[in-house]
This record gives sequence, C-alpha cells and structure tokens, in this order.
Amino acid sequence: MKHMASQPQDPQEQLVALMTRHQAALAAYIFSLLPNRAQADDVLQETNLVLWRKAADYDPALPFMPWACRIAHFQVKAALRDASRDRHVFDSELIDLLAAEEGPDPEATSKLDHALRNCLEELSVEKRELILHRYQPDASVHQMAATRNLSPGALSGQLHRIRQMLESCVEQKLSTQLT
Amino acid sequence: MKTDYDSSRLKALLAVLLDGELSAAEKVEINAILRSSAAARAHYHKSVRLHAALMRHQPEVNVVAFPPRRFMRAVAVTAIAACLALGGFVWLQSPTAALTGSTAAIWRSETTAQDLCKIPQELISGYAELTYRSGVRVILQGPCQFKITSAESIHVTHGRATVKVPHHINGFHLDTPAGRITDLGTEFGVAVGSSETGPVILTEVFDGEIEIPAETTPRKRMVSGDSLAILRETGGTRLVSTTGGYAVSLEDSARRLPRASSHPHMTGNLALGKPVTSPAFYAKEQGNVFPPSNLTDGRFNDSGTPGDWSFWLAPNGEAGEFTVDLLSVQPIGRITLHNTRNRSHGDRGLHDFIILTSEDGVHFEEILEGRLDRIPQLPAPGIDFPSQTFHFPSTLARFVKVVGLSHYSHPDRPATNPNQGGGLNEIQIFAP
Repeated sequence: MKHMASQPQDPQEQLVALMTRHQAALAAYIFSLLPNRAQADDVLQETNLVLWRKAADYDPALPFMPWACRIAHFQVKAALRDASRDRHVFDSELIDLLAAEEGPDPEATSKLDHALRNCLEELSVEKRELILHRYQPDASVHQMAATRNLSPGALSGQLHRIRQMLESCVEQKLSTQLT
Repeated sequence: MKTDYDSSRLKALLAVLLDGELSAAEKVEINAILRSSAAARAHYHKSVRLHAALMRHQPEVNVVAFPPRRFMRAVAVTAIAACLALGGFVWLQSPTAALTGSTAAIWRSETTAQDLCKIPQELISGYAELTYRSGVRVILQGPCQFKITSAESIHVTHGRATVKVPHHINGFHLDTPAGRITDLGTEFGVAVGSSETGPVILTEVFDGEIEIPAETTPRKRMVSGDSLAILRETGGTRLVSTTGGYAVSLEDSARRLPRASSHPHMTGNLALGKPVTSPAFYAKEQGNVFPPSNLTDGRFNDSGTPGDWSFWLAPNGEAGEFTVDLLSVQPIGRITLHNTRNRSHGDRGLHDFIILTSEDGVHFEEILEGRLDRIPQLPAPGIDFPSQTFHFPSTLARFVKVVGLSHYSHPDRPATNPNQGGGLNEIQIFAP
C-alpha cells in the first residue's frame, strides 16, 4: 500500500508541482481577500481548477505566484458576485486594494510556519491547547465557549490576546532570522 | 509610530471577524477603516497572515504503521501509512478528473495519473477529494472502493461519498450496487453498504435535488433535507426512511475535505487488530450489524456504512460485555477506551463498567471499575472521538474483559424504550 505520488514530467505536471508548492501561500492570499474559511476554501478549489484548465497559457519563464494570484483575485470577485450581499465581508474596492498589497511567496510562508511552530511551543500548555483547539477543523468558538462556561465574547478576547502574543513572537523570530 | 487609524478599534473588529461574525454595521466600519488607511491594511494583513498560518498548522503526528481494517487481512499485506501534508495536495492529471486533495489517506495500491480513471481504486482509510473537469467535487471516506467511470459519473461499490455539483451542471451520476443516483445540481451524500439480503445505500440530500431508483415508478426525486435508505432485495428495490429504529442520517459525513485526521497514541497498542468476542451483539437487518471486532479496528469514530460500521453495540436492553484476546500473556498497565454515540443519534455509549483480566480465559480477576463520559457533540469528520485512559498496577494478562454495568440512553427517548443498550468505539491496551 502506498500513497499516491507523481513525478513532474511534462509542462502540465510542472505546473501542478508549482501549484502544490504554492498552495499554502495561495490559500492565505485568498483568505486575506475573503476572510471566511468556507468561502475561501471554495475559492481555492475553483482557483486550482482554473489554473489547471489554463495550464496551456502559463509561461514557465514568468514567476508563478503573480499569475496565480491574479486568477485567485478574479475568482474571489466572481464568488462575491455569486454570493448574496449579506455574506460579503469586504466590498469590491477594498478587495482590489488588499489584493494589490499582499504579495505572498512560499518561502515567507514556510518561514512563518516554522516560526509559529516554535512560538506555539513557548506558550503555556493552557494557552497552547486553547488556541490549537480553536483552529481544529470546524471548531466553533460558540461551542468552545459553552463548554468552558464563558461568553463567546470573553473567549474571543482570550484567543485574541494569544494571537497577539504569537504575532509579536513570530515577528521577533522572523526579524532575528533576517539579521 | 503614529497611526492614522484607530488601532484598538481595528483590533476589536478583527477579533470578531476571525472568531465570530461581524454585524452589518461592523462590516461597514471595518471596510471604512481599511479603505482609508494603508497602515490599517498592513495591520490587517499581519493579523490575517498569522490566522492563516494557525489554520494550516498541524500538530506533529507520528506516522505509524497502520493495520488493515480486518485482522484476517493482516497477513496478506504490509501497510505503510502516509500522513499527507494538509493544505497541499497530490494532483494527478487525467482527462476527466483529478485527485485534488487527501487527508491521512491510505490506498490499497499505488495509483498513477493514468490509472486513476481506468481502474477501480480502494481507499483503505482517510479522506480523498476528486475534482472533475466540470467542477464536480466528490469527497470519499475510507474504507471506500470506487471507479471513475466517465467525465460525468463515478461508481462507488463500497463506502461513503459526498458529491457537490455546481448549479450549471445537469446530471452527474453516482452508480451503486442498488442502482444509479442522478444529481440535478446539488449536494448529497451516500453510504454504500450491504446486508445479508443485498445492497443497502443510505442517501441524504444536503442541498438541491437528486433522482434515485424507486419501487414502483422508474425513478424517485429527493429534495434538500430528505434522507432514505435504498434496499436492493430479491423482490426489487425498497425505500425506507428509518433503519434499525433510527431515521436515516448522513449528518456525520464529510462535506468538505477534513483538514486533519489524527490517530494519537497508536504506537504500542497491543489490542490493535486482535480478535474480540462477545456473548451477543446488536445485529439486525439492513446492515445494522455491530460486531465486537469493530473494537480493535483502528477506527476511532462512529463511521462506516451498513454492514461495515466502525463501532460495537450490545444487543438491545444490555450494557454488554466483550473480551479481547491479546494472543499471548503479556504485562499490561493502561487501557484507553473511546466511547460511541451511535453516530448522529447520540445514544448507546457505555457509562459504568468493570475490567477483568485473565491469563487462561477461564479465571478472571477484576482490575478496575470505571466510568466513561457521554460524547455530547458529534465531532467534525476526521476528528477522533474523545478517549479516556485508565491506569492500573501492572498485571499479566492474555484476555481483557470489559463488562458494562450501565449505558447512556437517548436524551429524548423514555427509559422504557426497548431500542437502547451499551456500545463502545475502540479499546486500546498498553504495556505498563
């Protein structure tokens, strides 16, 4: 029994390898424009599909990420057109602004992941468990709050403080890496 | 640094955005703050980058040898487990569909891009996501056997699948041993299983409309919220809305690829794949069969399909008991139990129990008395049910017997309802 695996060979497979390598950065980019986990997941799927279909248009001499981000940006706006207004978080104009500013790359993403892993270990067990629980698939802040006898707002406040600790820890680790 | 926006207000709004839901007024406010200040957007990007990193963060999971589901097959195959990195995916091209993701997937055999669409595939455990060129998305949950039969169809011979068809597509087919299910632009789930008399297919429409084989008319339509079991028997097709005393439900099926699926503390589990006996177990028609071998199958949540469920149930009216045979006398000192909640039904778990051990299978000695918690919520697909570990002084044993003293009942059913009893998902036994 083995897991599925493939070796990049032809141009389409090369593109697939690029997509795989950039998947985390692309997901983060989409989430920054559409900060709703379920909607962002759907857009990532659709973006992958479009990238796959457009494989023939891709020029391997050009960097992959700007091309993929352009398509993702377009897919976010398409999703916005399809979704009812009350499901929108950001308006179209703001999405364009955010899209132009955020230039993710897989190297920075993997450095961030590495720093985050270390920073999580520096947290107290209690805080670490709380924040990891929050980010388990389909975890609900409401449910977590109920089992802890807290109001959702109070729990959200705690989570927010832990994220801030992580933010400054990660920032510090990344800046010392640079020097 | 001086800022041109109210950073504490933005922080408060971000907390709501990331953990809850912004009100309409808050959305207007955050849009205005972010639109008007580049520094505010930089603040936003920083917070969201960390949030995204936390979403893809996976605790280290030990990659361990994973046994085949059934003990009898253990001799025939050596298993290799591979926990694929989440967020990434294995993309196998083919003219019709691709494997666009998997979570803790273990396959029966190595599959190449060409094979994926040509030969039947077996997903032993974990989850896989197929995306068709048309945009149709299929989530498969192991154990599952399937074959991609065309650009508009899949044949599932065993296991669970959920299908999401974009609205502009008309007529995606999922073939089962009980006939063809046609999707009319929607989302639905199936659990393809069997009973002694023939195939049993559980179906539930999550959104939209589907067509299924029917009893008297050639086809029957099901709409959003409907759930039915399709029984293919010698007399023809029969449709039922309840089975084994419960309404058909696939509420616990994965509708999107789970991000994580972990099996903690598997290493050193002496009970894994070992034979288990019980004086009796719950066994009724339509594949409602829950034998004690499910207690050591390495499946840590209530999943499966008719005839192939992942947990053990005692007969109605009994808390039940079972005995694990470790096949040799060994020192043991710790037992972990995963309770059941009988899928979405929320009943039938063990409550109070005693554990006895024996070296010869004849003379048993009680080593502990314990209590298991009820599993109140249905965990998300891919997440193991909670477990409880019981420690005891090191003892030599070959046989470990668990005797239920009481069990949990359905919260809404009277205590006199005959349709209740004990049950358990998994037992793990460890050396001291």
